Amino acid sequence: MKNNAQVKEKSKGMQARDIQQVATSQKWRKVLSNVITYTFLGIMALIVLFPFYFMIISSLKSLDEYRLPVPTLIPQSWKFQNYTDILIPREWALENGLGHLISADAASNDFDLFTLLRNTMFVGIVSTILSLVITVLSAFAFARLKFKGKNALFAALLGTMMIPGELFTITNYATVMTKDGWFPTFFNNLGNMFGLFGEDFRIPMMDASYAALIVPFLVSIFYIYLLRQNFLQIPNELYLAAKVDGTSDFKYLCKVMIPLALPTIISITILKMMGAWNSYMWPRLVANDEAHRLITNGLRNAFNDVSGNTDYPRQMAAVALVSLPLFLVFIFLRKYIMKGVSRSGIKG
Amino acid sequence: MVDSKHQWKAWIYLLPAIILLLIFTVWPIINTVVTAFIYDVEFNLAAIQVEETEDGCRFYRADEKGNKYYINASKNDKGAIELQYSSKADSLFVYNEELGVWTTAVGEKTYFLGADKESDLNVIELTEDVANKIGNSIYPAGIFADVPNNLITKDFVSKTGYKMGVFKGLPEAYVYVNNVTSDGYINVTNILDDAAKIWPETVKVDGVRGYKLYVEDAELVKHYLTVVASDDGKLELQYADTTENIFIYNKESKAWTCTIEDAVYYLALDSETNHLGLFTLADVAQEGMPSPVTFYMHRGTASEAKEVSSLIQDNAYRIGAHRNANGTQTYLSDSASENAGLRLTTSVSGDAVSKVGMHNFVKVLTDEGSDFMVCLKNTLILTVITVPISTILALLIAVALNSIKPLQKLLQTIFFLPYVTNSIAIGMVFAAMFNIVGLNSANESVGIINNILGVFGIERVNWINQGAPAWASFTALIIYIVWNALPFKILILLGGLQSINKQYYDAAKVDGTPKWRVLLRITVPLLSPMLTYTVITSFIGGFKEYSSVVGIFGDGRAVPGGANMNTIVGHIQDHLTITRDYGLAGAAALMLFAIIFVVTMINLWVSKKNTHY
Repeated sequence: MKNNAQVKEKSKGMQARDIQQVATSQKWRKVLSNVITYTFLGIMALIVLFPFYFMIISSLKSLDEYRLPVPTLIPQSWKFQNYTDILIPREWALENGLGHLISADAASNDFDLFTLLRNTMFVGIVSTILSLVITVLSAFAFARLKFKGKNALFAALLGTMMIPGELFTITNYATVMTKDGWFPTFFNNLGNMFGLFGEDFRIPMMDASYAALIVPFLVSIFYIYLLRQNFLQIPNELYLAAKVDGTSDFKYLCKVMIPLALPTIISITILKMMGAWNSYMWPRLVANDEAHRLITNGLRNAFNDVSGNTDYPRQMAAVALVSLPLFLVFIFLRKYIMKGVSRSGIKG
Repeated sequence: MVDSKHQWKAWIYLLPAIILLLIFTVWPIINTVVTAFIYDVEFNLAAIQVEETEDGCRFYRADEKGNKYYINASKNDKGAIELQYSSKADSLFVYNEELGVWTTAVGEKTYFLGADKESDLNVIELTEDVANKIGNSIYPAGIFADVPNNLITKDFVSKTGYKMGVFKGLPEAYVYVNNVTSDGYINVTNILDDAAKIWPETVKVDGVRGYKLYVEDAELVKHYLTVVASDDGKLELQYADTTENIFIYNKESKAWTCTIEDAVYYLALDSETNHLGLFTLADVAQEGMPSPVTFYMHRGTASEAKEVSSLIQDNAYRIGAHRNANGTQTYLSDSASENAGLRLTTSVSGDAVSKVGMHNFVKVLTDEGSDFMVCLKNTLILTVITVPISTILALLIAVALNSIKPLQKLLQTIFFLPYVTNSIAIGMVFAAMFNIVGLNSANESVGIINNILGVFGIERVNWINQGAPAWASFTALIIYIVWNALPFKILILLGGLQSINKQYYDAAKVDGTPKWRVLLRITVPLLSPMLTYTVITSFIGGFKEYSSVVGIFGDGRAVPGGANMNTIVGHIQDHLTITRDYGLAGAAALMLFAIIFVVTMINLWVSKKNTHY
């Protein structure tokens, strides 16, 4: 018995020591793995951030400094002029006696920020509003209303999501570009309202080119799907109660469904706006003229090699300015964007 | 259950969506599939043939059986004179060398072949008044007969070639800079005057801080535009083997300029000598000064190249007038039926005889000028390399992010940042990072990436500049695509990781399982639904790669003097904007769809075997 107890005690002591040993080695291992993890993440974060850093420092350099054989990591002299050259319209500055504000060599600057911005904002806002209306109405019909063939229709719509957009592009391009086709005719007539208000009257910014940018992409099956799922989560009892009260479907949609599904609607709004801001391919096809060009197309065409003299600092300043709104939206509405993206996997 | 009385109300809610879907989704699907299988017989460019007689020529086309359809000027139902096809040979056409027009007589009056306002080829009565307008507002039809003696088909197809010409006002007509004369001068020939006997030569550009302008001859030797001072001190332009002269486009004066000893000159046509000459830029707007020469970005296309080469092979004749702003030729299209009107059209024509078949697919795949196979190869390379790299990197980052507590939110935000960027805009940043300023010059600035690599003793690489090797250009593009693809995958995978039950890891910890084993045996299997999702979406995205290429390499989607970086989507776009052949575009789009469909099915099949739910 005694012997046994001794052994037990001994083994107890050993156990404690062992545990301590294991614990220390585990602690070290934990520290090591933490160091490795943080180093890896740190390096990757630097790689991810580097282009942004490069963009910002380059946009603040003079052309001569940019061309140094060994680039400086912090600008020797901060040239904010690169930004003001883009932000201050040249014509306007000259007319108002503010010529001293812009560089003399900004003449080659063909990046008309304000026209591009106006076009993009117009297309983005109009297409987002219209798209939201259509999405909300359709999602509501699919989520709450009862009609024959609902499931079949919904399945067919989801089926079209599998087809790559390029397949639609071709015919849509023909539809909106055939000069005397119904599409341009309709929208140009809409633009000047059949001459009802005199020759010069036009609905502001409404013509076939803007319509071509907006109309073909108003319906997004994915957004309808997203919102329908959200609508379905709203208890049916609310709807039935509203019905008993004699509330119309539309009123119920506006007063109950939309407020409850607001987070999803905000996500859709942001993604749609980002889509307008980032779109390149379709605008390049249908609105590649100076009056209608959107910001991404304008950016790609400006400061480019045609002059044979790419003005990189100013180009980078323009890129930074174009990226800025996206970052601001991201900072303030991160939650909605990440939620929307994780469910969609599409940009805009 | 269904309240049939109020069913129609639901359709009101759906009405806008359904109308738009019918127009912009359903109809396009049907139409694209149909157009992909319909092709124009007009493609047969054995086009217009000429029968020469002692008095003049007769023009005709032959169908497959060899029946001849002659072009005749005859009265239509309304009594107007029109061009029509007929099996009888009535009209005789005579070339009037003075006016440069083909004339024919109907009754007492003389008519000539020309393009009228509606861009139809027709006969126009040759009055004195009209004769004065020829070349100004009325364009005679040229006959493309002789084999151009300095034609370089290869250059013509080349994507980055420029045409050099003088703008002659509306309606659009261009005078092209042409061949090198024996005394080294640059001749300028009006393509309309000379009935396009000589094809406009491609003027190429290179250089970074401006362009050295050159044309290539049949032996691919470059002849550079060079400023030479003649004996009397006048500056002249000549072709030379080498040049120091760099030309820059001045956007304000819309002129190509060259600086010689601090004086700036612009390029214009010297009307006295009919040579390309230099004029002081300050005088550009003054009256009497010639208007500056313009370079037309011209991406020669498959169909144009085909036209030219078949022109040589068949020794066929085509009737056409040149009047399009893009510099595209318009030709008489095929409507070989009798009594059909003749129209001047570009390659796609509603009047053309259409047939159903796989011709468009065959043409996209095998046509000499079609870069579909190159695009397919590029797209495959990009997809096969970027998908695994970005998935594995994203997985590692997500696992690492998931295992830490402090700084997790901050790092997560940083890693998501590339997602909220404009892929064209940041593509331009990457292009700037890889770009070498002043390539091969004494004060070459190799760019930030080369500088960083230089720290590790790696020699500078020409990534994306003139003559860059293909592997380097692809590396640059792949780095950008991976960078761009990471955030979405990290987001999805991190979301998946956070929903994995911690008990699995606790169990593994108790067993003392090594970390890599935990990753491979627990994390990856439990994450497999998310992994499948990201892999499938990135394969689809990879096959639709386009904007990242434009971001880095510009709208030309090619490295000057280097690799063609175009992708399948770019190829489809080119068919819409350049060849304007929707049938070919449809065929290419359907093939893209088929590829994506097959790859997705394979992905699903593979993942079904390996996915653990």
